[in-house]
Amino acid sequence: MNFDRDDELVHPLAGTMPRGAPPELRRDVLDAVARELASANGRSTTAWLAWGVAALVLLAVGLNVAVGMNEERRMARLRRHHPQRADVAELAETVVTLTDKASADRFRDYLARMLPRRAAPPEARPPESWPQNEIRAVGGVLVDP
Amino acid sequence: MESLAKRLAQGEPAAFAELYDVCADRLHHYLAVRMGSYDAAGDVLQDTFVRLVRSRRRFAGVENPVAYTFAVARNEAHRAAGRGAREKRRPMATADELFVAAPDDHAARLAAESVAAALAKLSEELREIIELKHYAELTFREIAEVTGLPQGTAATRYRTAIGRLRGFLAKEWS
Repeated sequence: MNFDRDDELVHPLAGTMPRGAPPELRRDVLDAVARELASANGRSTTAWLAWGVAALVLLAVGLNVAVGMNEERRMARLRRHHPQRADVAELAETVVTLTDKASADRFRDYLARMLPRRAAPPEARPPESWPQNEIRAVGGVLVDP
Repeated sequence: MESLAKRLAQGEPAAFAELYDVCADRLHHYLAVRMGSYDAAGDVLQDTFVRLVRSRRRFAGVENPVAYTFAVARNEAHRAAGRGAREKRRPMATADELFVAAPDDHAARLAAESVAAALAKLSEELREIIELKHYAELTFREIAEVTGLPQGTAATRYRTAIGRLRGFLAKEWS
């Protein structure tokens, strides 16, 4: 349905001519538009910088955690066992102080079995089983330092 | 060439100048009637364009930038009217503020004064429909977009407003 048809009416407003915007307003409005666009671009740059800094901080924290975990694993490998947990040791001490000696000894045995053991050092081989090239290498070092 | 709405959404200054040239006169008249002041209309028009720049990305989904601009101007006028609610404002702009009439053209001056007086007698809703339809030259579809009214309601209000204007003017001229 076309609602816009009303041409058959003699329009009571036909004799009037609307006054438009003052000519100087155009410059004022377009200046305000330009200022707003410039400040919006500035805000956008600042926002990008803020996001960049936040991302770098997160990356630094993540790397720090990763390096810490890696270092802990490396130290554990060097010690050949995982570091004993402080709360387990504390619990063992508490059990020893609160119960009788037999229970304390039993608990200590359980705890000793639960804790990872230090790996045994490699067995020493008798000199007869040493390979000849190793004997020559060691002899060379001893004779000619 | 890209559409005006797309260029506005991208924040192209020339697109805002183009939008201004397309609708500033009509928009200013609408705001002058709505605000009751020629000067206040200029301020609200400027606020409208600043608001359009701030939310320019919304133009990407806008089909009709002119109707959208009128809708934003309507909201800005509402906001400005709220700010100035305690100030004593004239209820209606004068005939000189609203219409152009040469000083020696008595018929035009008389028509302008009569129409301004008749518009002042209309309710705000009917006056707005007259403004948007007759002076801003929007279609009823665009008026529906601007005001949020159904097209049929806008059309009915327009015919009611025209009828009342005709009655007021007939009484005055008789």
